[in-house]
Amino acid sequence: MPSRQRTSKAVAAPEAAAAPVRSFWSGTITFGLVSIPVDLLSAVRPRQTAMKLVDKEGHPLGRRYYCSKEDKKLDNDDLVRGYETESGQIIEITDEDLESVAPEMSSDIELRSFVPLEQIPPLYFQKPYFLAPAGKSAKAYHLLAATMERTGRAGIGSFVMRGHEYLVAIVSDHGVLRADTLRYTDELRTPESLELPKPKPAAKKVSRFEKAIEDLTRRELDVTELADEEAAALAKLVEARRKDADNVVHTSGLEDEDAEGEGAKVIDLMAVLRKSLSKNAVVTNAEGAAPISLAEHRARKHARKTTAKKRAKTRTASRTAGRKKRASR
Amino acid sequence: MPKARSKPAAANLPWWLAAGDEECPHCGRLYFVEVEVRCAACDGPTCPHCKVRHREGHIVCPDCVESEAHG
Amino acid sequence: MARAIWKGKLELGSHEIDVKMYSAVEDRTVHFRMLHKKDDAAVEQHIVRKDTGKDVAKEDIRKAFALDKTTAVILQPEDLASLVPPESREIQILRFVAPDVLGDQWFDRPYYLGPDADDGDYFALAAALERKHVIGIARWVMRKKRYVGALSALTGYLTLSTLRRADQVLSFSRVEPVKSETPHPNELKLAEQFVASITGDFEPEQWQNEYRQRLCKLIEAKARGEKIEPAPTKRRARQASLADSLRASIAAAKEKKVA
Repeated sequence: MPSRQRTSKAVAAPEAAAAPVRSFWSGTITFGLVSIPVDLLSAVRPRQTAMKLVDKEGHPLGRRYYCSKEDKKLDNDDLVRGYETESGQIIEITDEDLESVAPEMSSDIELRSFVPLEQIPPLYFQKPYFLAPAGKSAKAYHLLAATMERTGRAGIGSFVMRGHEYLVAIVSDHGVLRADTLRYTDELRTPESLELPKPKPAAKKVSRFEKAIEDLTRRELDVTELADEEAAALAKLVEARRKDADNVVHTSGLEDEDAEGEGAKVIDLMAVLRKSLSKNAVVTNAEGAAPISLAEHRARKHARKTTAKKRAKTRTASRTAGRKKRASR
Repeated sequence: MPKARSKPAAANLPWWLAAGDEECPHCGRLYFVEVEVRCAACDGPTCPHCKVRHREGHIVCPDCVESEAHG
Repeated sequence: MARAIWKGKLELGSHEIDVKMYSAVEDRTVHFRMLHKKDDAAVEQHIVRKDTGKDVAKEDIRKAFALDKTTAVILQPEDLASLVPPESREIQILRFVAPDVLGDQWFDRPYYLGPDADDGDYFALAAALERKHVIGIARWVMRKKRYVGALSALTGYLTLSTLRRADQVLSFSRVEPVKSETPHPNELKLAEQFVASITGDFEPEQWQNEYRQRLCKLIEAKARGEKIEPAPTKRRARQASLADSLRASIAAAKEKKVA
């Protein structure tokens, strides 16, 4: 799909353009001695499949905590988290405790290594976050993004957020920095730890499978294969049930009490990017366009240049050679 | 008729109770991924409030409570 | 050690391979419990009506799909039952594509597929997949839910990673910086030089989850009644010009290598 088409499709999907996302970590990427202040934002949206709990009349339900000892209802202020040891000892762990463990890791992501992106197996990837520039100037930000694209490498670093340390691979996603969290090696099982049998390929069979793979190999992805069928089926059902007024409830209290609160700032991703990056920033979800990775983007750019050259040649050739079918891509 | 509960001040909520960017498929509650629990039977996500203990002792999601032994 | 969470049949052309699915994730998270601050007692939760605070019996709980902040459509148990897809053990492969067609933000939960009884076909497919260097887009139904994932080969074994759905993944058209913030060619050159100085292969064993180790030590110390001194915060050096910072970074990286 040529990029022109993609852009116009994105504009045609206004709800994707609003893209409110939450920012819940701010810090600094350090790239050598260069510091880049950033805000971390989600890069994925929840599926449209979750439902709320209500009673038979449609009153929203929630959860209240009770102290098992006193049989008393508790407020949020009465709660604390703790760790239970094997011997049953309970140790209170506060947020201050979590912060005290490694305060120097909570605000910086130091990029200590740059690796070729294709070397990271898919098993390692956990969750993606966009990084929006948060400093006065976004020059260093753009420099890092451009360098990652030119070198085809991801910056590897780690940082602490909400009591967890995250290993990240930072890449440039069409000019916007994205931090993909990675699993640590000890967080991944291996065929050995799963006690799988040792490999023993039979050469004859392998070539048969290679042929089967070739027959099914395609140049591009079909985004419809990644559509959310469950969300679609649910939406259809909801539409049908909605027609009966008995099923529809109008009530407050459907949302979490804290939905807009301190938990995470809700930010309009496009507004943030427009302000700090460029007026041409357009956010879309993959349904508005074929999902495209940087490598594919580059490959297509290269292909477009080559096709343009080819076309010029063909035009000249067909003029001299008469009728000639244009080679299809 | 009992009085409606007053809304707790959003600022008082620690992150492990606050609305994060993950949505529980079982109750729709929003939570942060750091408190997520995965079902031992189907590996599906559960908010910490929906997790249940299977009769055999491991932690599962509400869909797998009645399921046969994990595996 | 780990038990398979599911058994399926991989379908590729006319081939059918029996496989067992194992989660590839080892949970190392330090899990906490919710406690009552006053006496560290365990906390129970009850499902209640948000407005009255009264308990609701399990059989009276329903699910409703929220259309917006104040409107929802109640779905009865028979409605939800109608949404369940037909049971199947098939893992259907829809197509194969080059690995770089799917950006890394699509990958969700990883699984290893292990062979069932006959492993000849299994290892042949894994070898073929590794040689062709492609990933397969796969679809299957497991425990009443639909899944889509990427089939890949790693060190002679098959892996299957679930993928996020198309409407979940946010992406961009090209974003260009404004003129005043476009890096200069000499800055780009210096940056590339710096990247080259700390470039290497991806060696995940080199990275340790240090925070988790320290957290465990803190918990142990607290269990013994000791106090742990918080680690000092590092003061960040004041930022010089972009080009100067890069030059200094390159020099520092060179020194580190020599040392």
